[in-house]
Amino acid sequence: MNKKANILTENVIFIILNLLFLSILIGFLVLQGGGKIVLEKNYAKQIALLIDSSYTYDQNDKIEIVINMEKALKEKDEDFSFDRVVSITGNEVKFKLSEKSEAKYYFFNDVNVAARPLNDKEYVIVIAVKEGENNAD
Amino acid sequence: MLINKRGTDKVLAVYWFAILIIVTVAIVSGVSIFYGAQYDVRDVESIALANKIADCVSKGGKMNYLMDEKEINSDNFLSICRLNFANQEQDLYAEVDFYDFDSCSINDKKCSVSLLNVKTFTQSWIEQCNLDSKSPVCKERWFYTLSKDGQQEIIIRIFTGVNKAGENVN
Repeated sequence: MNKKANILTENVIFIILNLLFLSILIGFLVLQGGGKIVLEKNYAKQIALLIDSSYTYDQNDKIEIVINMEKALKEKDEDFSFDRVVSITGNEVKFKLSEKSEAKYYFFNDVNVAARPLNDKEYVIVIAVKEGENNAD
Repeated sequence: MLINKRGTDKVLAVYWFAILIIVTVAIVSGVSIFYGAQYDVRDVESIALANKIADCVSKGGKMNYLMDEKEINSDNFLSICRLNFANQEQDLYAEVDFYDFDSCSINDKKCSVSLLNVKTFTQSWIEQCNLDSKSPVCKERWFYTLSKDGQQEIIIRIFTGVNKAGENVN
């Protein structure tokens, strides 16, 4: 009777250890896949590349690019305001999903850029020619 | 009989955990390498810079500027092409060569008579371009255009380089 109880206990421990191992592995994969830091870096770079690739020809030209932020919002800290996620100063794009972390990337296109939330899921990046300059001949 | 069976089970359990550890190490290292790798955008950035310069110097098949250092030179090149290299002076490079069409061998991409050369600050890392995945990324683009007055045929070579290793390479 005691031997049977021992076998059962060993099997239960074995199964629990296996489940524990699998859950730790799955947890690791989930954390790696949607990491806040990875998302911040990718968004900052992609916004900078969008600005670099844009063409504005005269002062009446204005490009508005709408960015879907649903993926980033899943990783954003709840107490961190959506208004502060994207900020553009000079030629620097800064992307933040929490108070403690941020990613930045520089663009080379010499234009006026502003970023603001369009609604609770999207941001709009407005690109315009700097005052007093025209590209058109 | 029961004792033997339990002995076999224990040996199997050891093997089982050994297999688990091997699988774990493989998955963790694979995932770490995949997600740990930085998102390298230097290739796209270098192409975007070359396109921007091409649009600046030539439009509709004609040069936007006279082939004269008073009009376009290394000092005013960035501002007339509306490029801002602030905070990334050490990481970006751009050079434009204007050649006489008749002095060029298109197949070999070689030209002998340079009409004008403009470039940004010289970078030491240009020599290291495109050596491996961690090296700076450089692009070269050649195209044909006419001079501003339409009288001369010109070959333009645009060479761009992006280093930014810190942001794009592990």
